Amino acid sequence: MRAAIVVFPGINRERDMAIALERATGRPPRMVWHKETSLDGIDLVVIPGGFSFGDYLRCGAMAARSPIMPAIHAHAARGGHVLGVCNGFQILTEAGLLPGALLRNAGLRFLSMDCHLRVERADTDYTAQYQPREIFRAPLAHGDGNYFAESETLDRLEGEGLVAFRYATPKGEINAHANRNGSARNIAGIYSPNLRVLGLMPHPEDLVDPLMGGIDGKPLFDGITAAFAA
Amino acid sequence: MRDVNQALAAEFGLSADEYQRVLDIMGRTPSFTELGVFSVMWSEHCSYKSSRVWLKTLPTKALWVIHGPGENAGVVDIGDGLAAIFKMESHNHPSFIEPYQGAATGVGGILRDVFTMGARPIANLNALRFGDPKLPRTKRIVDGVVRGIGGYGNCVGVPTVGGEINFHPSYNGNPLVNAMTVGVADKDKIFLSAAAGIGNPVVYVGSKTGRDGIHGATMASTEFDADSESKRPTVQVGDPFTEKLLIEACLELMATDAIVAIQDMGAAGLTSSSVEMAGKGGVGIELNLDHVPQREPGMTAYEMMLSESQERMLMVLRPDREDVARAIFDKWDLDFAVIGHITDTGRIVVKHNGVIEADIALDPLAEQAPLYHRPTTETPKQPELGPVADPIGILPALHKLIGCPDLCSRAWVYDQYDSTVGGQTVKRPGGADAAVVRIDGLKRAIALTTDVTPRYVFADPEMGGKQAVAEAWRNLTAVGALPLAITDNMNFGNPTKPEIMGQFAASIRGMAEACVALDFPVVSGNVSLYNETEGRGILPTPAIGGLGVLEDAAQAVGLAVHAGQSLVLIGGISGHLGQSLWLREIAGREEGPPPPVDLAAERRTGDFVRAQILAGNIRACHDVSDGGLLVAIAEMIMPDRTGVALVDPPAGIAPHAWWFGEDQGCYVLAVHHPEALQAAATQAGIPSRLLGATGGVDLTLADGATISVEALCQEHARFFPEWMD
Amino acid sequence: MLTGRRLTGDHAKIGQSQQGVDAAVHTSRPRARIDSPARISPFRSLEIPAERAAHVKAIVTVMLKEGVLDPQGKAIGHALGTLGFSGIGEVRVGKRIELELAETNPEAARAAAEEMGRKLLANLVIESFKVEIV
Repeated sequence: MRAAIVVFPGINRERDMAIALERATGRPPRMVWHKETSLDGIDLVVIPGGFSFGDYLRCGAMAARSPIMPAIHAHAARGGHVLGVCNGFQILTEAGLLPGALLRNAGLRFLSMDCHLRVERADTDYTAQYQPREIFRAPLAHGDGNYFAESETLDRLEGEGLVAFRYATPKGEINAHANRNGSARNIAGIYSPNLRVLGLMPHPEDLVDPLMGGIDGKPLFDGITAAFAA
Repeated sequence: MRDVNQALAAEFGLSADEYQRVLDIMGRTPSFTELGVFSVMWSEHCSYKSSRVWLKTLPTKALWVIHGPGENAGVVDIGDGLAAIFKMESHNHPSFIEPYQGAATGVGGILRDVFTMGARPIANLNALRFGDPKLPRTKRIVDGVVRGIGGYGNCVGVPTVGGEINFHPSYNGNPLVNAMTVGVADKDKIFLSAAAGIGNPVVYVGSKTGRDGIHGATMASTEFDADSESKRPTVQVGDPFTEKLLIEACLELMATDAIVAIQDMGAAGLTSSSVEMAGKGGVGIELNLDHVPQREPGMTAYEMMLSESQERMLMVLRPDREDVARAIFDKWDLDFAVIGHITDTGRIVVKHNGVIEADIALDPLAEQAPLYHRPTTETPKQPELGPVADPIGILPALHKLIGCPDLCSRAWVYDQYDSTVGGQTVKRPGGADAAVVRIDGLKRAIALTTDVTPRYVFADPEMGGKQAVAEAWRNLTAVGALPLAITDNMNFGNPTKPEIMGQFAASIRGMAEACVALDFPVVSGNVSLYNETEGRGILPTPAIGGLGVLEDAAQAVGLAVHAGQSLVLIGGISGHLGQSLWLREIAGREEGPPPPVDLAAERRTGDFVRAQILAGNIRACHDVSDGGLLVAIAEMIMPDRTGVALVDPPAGIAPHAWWFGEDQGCYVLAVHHPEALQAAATQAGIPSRLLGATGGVDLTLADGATISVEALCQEHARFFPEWMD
Repeated sequence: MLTGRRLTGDHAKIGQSQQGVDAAVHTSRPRARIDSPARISPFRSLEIPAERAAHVKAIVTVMLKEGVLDPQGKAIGHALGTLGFSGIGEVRVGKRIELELAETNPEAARAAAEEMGRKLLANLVIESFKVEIV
């Protein structure tokens, strides 16, 4: 799998993401500056976390209008894979590649802690190496991760199986206690209708090494890598 | 424009003697701008005029020290061809006036001190002291400071991995916000600030200059009074996004050979950076302020020279590399302007609109800066405490202590700091006695901590200074790291008061003794004086930032125990209750001498513990500090919610003194083979004692008294969320 | 001004601080550089310098749409209540963006600002905006 990480000014988890991708694929991803306009030859486009353009105005708003974005739209339109994590998820919603928006956390504070996620379906390119309904741990680090969409949109996402992950307790309960940022219906991540574009707030890329506290995030990167090896 | 005279000099913070010295150096009445330059360069903040005589007595050398104090930050060799670059700096006064921006710009400033030397910042820490939590103002300040640290650090993408928070009424009107940054660079690619090369361009990069923070350096050098709120206009506003761009652009430029010298514009902005760069290089500098990128129209030379606008750097470049440098800063959308050149005159000359606004010889500006041997009086020794009865029993005291503001869980605070960005954080906040951050791509890791116990320093400044250094050394040791060096942040009251200067001098004495005994030199530091409001001094607070190294990050141990382990105390406990938190929180007294630090025993015990950790024998380790032994044990069992059954204290010591005394140089180790550990300790001549075994869900004393770990966890977690949200 | 952002501060303090601003200007700064208090606005960079006031200014006000939870507004409402202000209904927080436009025709300026609102300044999934030309 040939992966590219898109670097906007203010992005800060690009190195974490590069480490996780290199561990899975065996080669370093291509780093693509936001002023570039081509993603030729790339299988997976990753938009990492951080504070693109300082998150001024709205999180992801200015990145979503950067010169690289038409190439990302075209890649997605071709059925290409796009993964947006944290600020990357915000950028994908601002760009209209995923529905909804990420609002200020319900508690109005930045949240940096481990959360638990429930895998809603284990048959996508991203989640094939998880078990259905598996609970895994991932660090949260965001101030604006409160997923919002109109109720019809939420119904459609659920009805079409496009919810990727939900915030859960370690035992797998989906409740308000597990939902620290106040997301609608505990949604932590969603897919595009073709299941190729994935956006999520937590950081699986920061849990791919036992030394850092676990490898709960590793199956996601191994899974997408295996999807291209097949 | 006002006339320059002694009255104006006094408004600028210069004494009559100091103003006379200015007149002598200049040989004429200085211009308005020149007076501004003198006033900031000779402020306490920039000149260390009250503290320098004492700071010089600190040990600063070791085989592994590459650059000690005097550069933007200290530099130590950490192996594998790498250097760690680190420093701690205060932003106390700005944080009182505007907590969010004060703390945020404090983080920004210390980051620049580190990356200006060529290091990518890999960790931030902070040492915070606040007033009485019962005051609404304290709550507002805590909220703002925590948001500010997070707002800035999270955005620039440097993990905030550790720190400490204490409360005491002496900080009611003067919180302490000390921020520390650690970076890593190739040890043969360290960038320094000494300018060189006659004719070389002087380049300004980063944000534009506005009128913010003018005279911040002199503000940091005077006491607050009732109308301190009036100083609000001098507060700087931080822009972490620009800082992030500046980090990336500077590091990209540093990979070329374009830079001759570089320094950030911190306190006293363009003045101190240009004066220090030229002064250190033994050259002159000429600036044309017409070329300074300006955010506001109509700025004067005085304003531009003294502005403390954030996120700016000054560089001297090789002339043939100017285009390379400009292209990099263009890419990152940052201002880049040649604002002057290096001269051979030994003078700083500042031009604006075709007029020479300042022309000052650099040598006397630096060498004739005031230096004060201020009078000192020794702090009287505290009388011995004598026996103190236990009013409430062991477990009720434990329950109360672990919920008190000084000992409760700090999760509410560090849950707002991104501690994992970078993907190298091996031990996160709350997980170990020191933070452990691996070096990207290597097995090697650094360990980091900040420590001081201000109530000990207040009771006995010399012993307290010694304890602060020993505690930092101990916390690094407790994760298995070899302690290498410290940075210090000396927060004290008004130095013109002999008792305050006495605290300062004695603290330095104690610190120096500990640094020598523990091979733990000071490589950088910062002094913040006049931390008083309306005549009340803060507790003297020499905050120590310690750095150690682990050759293999996998060897680091945390403090969480699991079921099926034995707990062993290493080190001797006498039951010292003087100045303990038990005495304050349970008996309502703040009395007695602080616990003595035996540096020889400290070293022997620590070296033994570290060797045991590196041999792979230890499952968890935690030092005994605030709250004493039982609090240490509680902190080890709460993370995994594992119970523990404890054995009786030794005969001849009151149980409450045993469990809550704050004896120094002690560690609690979790092991699978306690006999082997104790035998090794005996052989090394170090006292040890089996404390108990883990398992179940309760903490149980030998007499059968029990408390559930769940109840402890709930009490531990309660204070901050209830107070703040 | 200062008060614009100090939403959690207590009111008495804000009042004091404004008196204090003047005091500081007189004691710690040269008189020649006294500026109006407006200079310390966090939004000062958006204010129009006098020599360019001939241009049109568009004010874009961005608000969360009705029905979108506004936790900031809720928190402010709560804080006002604890300060003793009663009878406060819903509190909503928005953004005001001032644009200086090189355009003299107000209708053209409005059209431009509305396009900017749709394309960047507001996220129409959650926000609405209105444009005012001054």
